[in-house]
Amino acid sequence: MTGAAKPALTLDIAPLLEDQWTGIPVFTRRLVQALERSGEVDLSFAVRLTRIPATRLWDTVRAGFGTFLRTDFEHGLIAGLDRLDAASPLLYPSVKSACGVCGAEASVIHDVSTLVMPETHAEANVRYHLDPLREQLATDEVVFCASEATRAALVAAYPSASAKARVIYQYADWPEEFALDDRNLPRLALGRYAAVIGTIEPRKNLGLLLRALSHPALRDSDLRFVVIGKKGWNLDAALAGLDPAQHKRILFTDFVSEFAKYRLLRAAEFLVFPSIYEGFGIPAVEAMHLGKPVLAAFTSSFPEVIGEAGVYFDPLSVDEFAAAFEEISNPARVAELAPKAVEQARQFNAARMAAPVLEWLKAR
Amino acid sequence: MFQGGVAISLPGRHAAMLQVSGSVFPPEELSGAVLPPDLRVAANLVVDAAKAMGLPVRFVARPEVFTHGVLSERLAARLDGVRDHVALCDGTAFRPLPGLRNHLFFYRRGAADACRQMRRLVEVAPELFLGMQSQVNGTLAFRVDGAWHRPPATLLAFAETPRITPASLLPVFLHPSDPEGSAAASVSEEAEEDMPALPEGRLRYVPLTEAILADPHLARLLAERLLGAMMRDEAPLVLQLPLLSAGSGDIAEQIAAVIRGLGSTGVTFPRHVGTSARWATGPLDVAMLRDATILVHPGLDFWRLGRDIWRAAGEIEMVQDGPAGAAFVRLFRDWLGAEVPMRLLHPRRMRDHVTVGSVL
Repeated sequence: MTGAAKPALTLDIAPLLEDQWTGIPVFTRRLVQALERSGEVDLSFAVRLTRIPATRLWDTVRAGFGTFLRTDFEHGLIAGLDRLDAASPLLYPSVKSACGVCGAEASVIHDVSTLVMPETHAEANVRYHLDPLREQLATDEVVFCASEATRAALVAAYPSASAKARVIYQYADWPEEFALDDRNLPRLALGRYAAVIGTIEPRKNLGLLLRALSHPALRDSDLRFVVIGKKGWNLDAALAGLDPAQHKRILFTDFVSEFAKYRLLRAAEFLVFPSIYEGFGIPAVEAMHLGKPVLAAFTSSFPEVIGEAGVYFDPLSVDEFAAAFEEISNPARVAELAPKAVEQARQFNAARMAAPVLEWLKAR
Repeated sequence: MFQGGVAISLPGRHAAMLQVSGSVFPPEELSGAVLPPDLRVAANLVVDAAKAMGLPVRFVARPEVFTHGVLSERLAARLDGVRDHVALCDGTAFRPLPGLRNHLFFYRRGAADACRQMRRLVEVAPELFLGMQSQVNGTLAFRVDGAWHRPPATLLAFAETPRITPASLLPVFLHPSDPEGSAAASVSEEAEEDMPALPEGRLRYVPLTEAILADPHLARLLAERLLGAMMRDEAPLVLQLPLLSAGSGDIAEQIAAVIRGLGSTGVTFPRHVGTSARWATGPLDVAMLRDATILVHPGLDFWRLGRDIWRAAGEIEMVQDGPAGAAFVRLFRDWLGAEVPMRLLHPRRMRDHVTVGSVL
């Protein structure tokens, strides 16, 4: 005698075709793994309405990049491609590539920055996200939002989506081998520093940190700032106002591998996350996972994601930033916050990520 | 109209340039900030209205920060009793504040690109506008689920027209094939010195905007009137130069933009200076406008001129083409609130139309 059949789900994995996985591709990979680990769903995978063999998906997840999958898909080199089962629910981890194809559809809204901060996006990106959004919401049975803040912002703009909008939290999952590899390498010779995640772009608000460098609280500190991530727009203009001493306080890594990011976060005193607006803020969870508290802007998703593991400041106030910096620079305060950071990061795990999807499928 | 105080938010691209004390800050902090003139005038209009009611004013730099929960509570604490939020909207985003009565102030009806952006925003997120309390000096209407919505208007006006610098009158040279050269000739010192006095007669005054120049029917009408003023010494015609979305505020740039707009109508202009026509670099003095005819188009941000100017006018010519024009006429009448003779213009109907079906 067999138990009840698992509900079926087709997951669109188009984001995994990217060469480098950050942001939504990483979210997609975590969602795939979280659902698989739950053992409670019969998963199949699709790219652009085409079902692909599960073996290709898992090979790609193991590789950690999508170049081969994309090339083979685009050149018709994948054996066993098939039409997706329209009777099975279909979940898009981001913008839907087609609406109303399956009997039940769902998608994920990561943030509404293209709606509330269009000036921080290229016009093409705004159109890509906003033009199909109404149809996307109308044809979704459930809309998963990356945080309660994202849900609130979405529902404020689209009240009709209120009943179908649910929160899906992602999680940090540093590979186990990173800890061992890190221990086997020499310590980073960067002195005491705070890690800063993000590119130089208006939404990431690094300008506040640059302005604060002349504030006595930062000027008199021995901490440096290591900015991890691709260099964004207007970097030279943003740095032009710094004096030579301030220049020495900031180091830009440019794009780094996940392992390099792990090492840089692990050796940091804390994370600085000054964004004006975030849909979730996974770098905060990644840092907290390593026991690092967060000096965070009091905005959008941060209070719910960082909780008591952070020291907050008004994202437009240099004085508040400086005061919060002074507080978190104190090693005693960091020691107090570190266990809270680990505990907070534990709140975000694979089971919690899978839960709202399973709930949706089981309720059907 | 407003209760307890007024919170005002700025468009994101301008908020990004600000260096202020925090997310919520007093109006005084804006005084030294670099803002485009249309935005500054719009902000001043709301600040003045609130102050006239004895209400405190706070600016909110980034409404998107305050999504919900503890963030809304923090905002409420910092706003200390403020109940109303006026979102100064450039057409790209409308960011209501949770828990407040939100008023939309689309302050760029004079910019054709901003109007396009506003239409697009309403198309992609019409529900966003459903909950708003009112629209300041606006005529926005939209349809959601088959029902039309037109949020009520809040009417704000300057008693006296704000002026950054006194307006200058410049001679009109108009060579459509050389807008920059024509503009350079108009702003040269010699041209101003040699400018003959305006003839007698009721002044016709047209405050221009990019949106007005983008209306081909009105552009044609204006071009013909300008031609009349240049060739037949008709009653004097003064065209107030438009603010340009992409411009630096340079007068020659503004003149060249008008020449391109009027030149595109195909009307032929003489190559001499028009004795009865002038460019104005800003709103004219009230004394000069006493008994004048002022032309108003739905693409005019009329509230930038104070009631002093409108009530001094002898006649207002209202362009009313289509249902949007009718809504604008109603709004303007309500906003003006005084008996100034009005005449409706229908530039589209003033042309002889060819019905294609009768030709084929």
